[in-house]
This record gives sequence, C-alpha cells and structure tokens, in this order.
Amino acid sequence: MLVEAFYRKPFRLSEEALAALKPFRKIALFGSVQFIQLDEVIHQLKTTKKEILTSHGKRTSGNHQLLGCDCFQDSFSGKDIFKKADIILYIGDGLFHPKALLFCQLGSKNPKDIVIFDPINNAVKKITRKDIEAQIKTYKANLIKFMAAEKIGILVSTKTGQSYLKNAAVLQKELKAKGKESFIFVDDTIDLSQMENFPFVEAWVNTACPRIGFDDLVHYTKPLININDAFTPEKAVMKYG
Amino acid sequence: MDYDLDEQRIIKEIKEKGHKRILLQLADGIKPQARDLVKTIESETDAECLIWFGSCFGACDLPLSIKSLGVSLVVAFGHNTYIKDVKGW
Repeated sequence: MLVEAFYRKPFRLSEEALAALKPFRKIALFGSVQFIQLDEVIHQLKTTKKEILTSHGKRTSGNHQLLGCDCFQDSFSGKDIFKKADIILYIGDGLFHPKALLFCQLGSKNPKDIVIFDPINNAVKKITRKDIEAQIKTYKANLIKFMAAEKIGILVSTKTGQSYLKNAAVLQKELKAKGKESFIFVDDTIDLSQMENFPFVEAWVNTACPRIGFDDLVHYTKPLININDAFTPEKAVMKYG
Repeated sequence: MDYDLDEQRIIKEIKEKGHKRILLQLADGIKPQARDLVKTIESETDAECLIWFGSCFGACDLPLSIKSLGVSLVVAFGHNTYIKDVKGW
C-alpha cells in the first residue's frame, strides 16, 4: 500500500520565485510527489503569460512528477522538453531530485538552469550545470580507469525496484569476452565504503540506483561507473563532454 | 503535520482485510511521525505495527523480504507507484 503523503498546506509561488522566472516564457514544470498538486502554481504562471511544458517521467505515475532516477535524456515522455524550455521550475525541498534535471541534460550543449521553489521554507534557489561539475569530472576519470581495469566488481541490489542481476550477468559475459575478470557482489542497500574490503577489484560497476553512480563518487578513490555506460565506455566519455 | 498520511485509508484497509501485523516504511522526512502513526493505528485497529529501520529511497525500495516476520501489509509513506523497466534503466 502506497501513501503519497501529499503536502497539505496550500502554497503559491513567492514574489522572489516569480521574479526569478520573469525573464523566461517557456517553463518546464516538475515537482516531487508530495508537491505535484500544482493547480495554483499553474494558474499563477498562466496569469503571468508563461507557457507551461508538461512531462511524464517514464517511471512515475503522474504528470510533472520527478524521481531521483529520472537522470537520463530519455527519462521523460515530453520529447525535447528541455530544448523547448527557457527555464526549469522544480517545486519541492532538497537538491537530490532537481539535480536529476541537470544529469539528464548532460548531452546538451545548451542546458537549462533550474529554479527551485521550496514551499515548506518559502525559499528560492537556482542550480546550474556548475553544481554537478565535480561529479562529472570524477565520473569521466572513472570511465577511463574502468577501461584500463582488468578486475571488475559488479554491484547488484536486492531491492525489488533496483535489482538487475540479469543485466549484471550480460555485462559479465561481455567482460569475459574482452579477457577481463569480473565478480558480482550482492547487497540490499549498496554501501560504497564496502569497496575497500575487496582490494583486488580495480573498478566497480553499479547496477542499482543510477544516482549511486553519480552523487557519492567524489568521496571514494576506487572508480565506479553505471552499468549503462559499462558496455560502451568509449562513447560514454564523449557523452559526458 | 504538514503531510497527509491518510491514516483513515490505512485503518480501513486493515479492518477490511483483518491484518494482524503490519510494517510502516517512511521516507526520511516523515520518519519522526512514526510514533504518532503507530499510536493512531494500534488504538483504532487490532493490528500490531512494526517500523522499518532501514532505507526508504522510493517505491523502488519496498521491504518485501519480511514475510518471515508474519507481516501481511507494508505501508510505504512518501511514494506512489513506480514503473520498473525490467530490461534495465
């Protein structure tokens, strides 16, 4: 049984939020599940002659809803929503979800900034590609180290929605064909500090939540990449600019 | 509480299905509400509530391996239906 825990206090965009959006006309609108009841915000934006671009994340159940794993170019139904938008507006608290909107624009030469409106604290913040530069730099270095590695560890989670043992097995077969040795490691919550206990592994591949492969990398010395890049790491290096 | 935890829907489900032991899994920001939730549910139903101590990253992270504890209902707060692409990301 799932309970969305919708935010139940009525909220409107603050004057500060409207001012941050003022120079822009086309707005791609997103929120975390607690804040996707956006009728009032949409009304406010339409009153100020804004065009609202709507998307539907392929793993989500509602329009405008954003998940942390919506961090790929093909994560949304609204094709080219980020190309069409002048700015992105995210409604919710924290940075985990809106950072997905930066990761999913990695292939873009003209990534759109994100204005975050937090209804709980009535606060406004703006994030740009600069906010994920450290992670991308580390990730690119990890891709290069992965290509050179001979012994690979593949991480598989037992969490129902994150479990991709079959994909891990396919990768293992490909690595074997390339003459590389690989091992599949299984856990519920993937705790990257455990990597230290297996010093024979030269590079790691994550198959669980894709954000594991991006967000925490800067804290670890052993290279880790995501499985979708492990099949064609040379292409991935280009993708991350 | 600023979030709608829909207690009456949970209570109705427990009574209709006769659940005796349930598990509450809460997103981090809602975890402090666990005590109030348990008190409300246990006072209005015959069900015993267990609280998930571990992660709650999303609907991709439901604790479905707890059958040995005799739990017949998991209530996950803070998420809606997650559509997994079984082929991969």
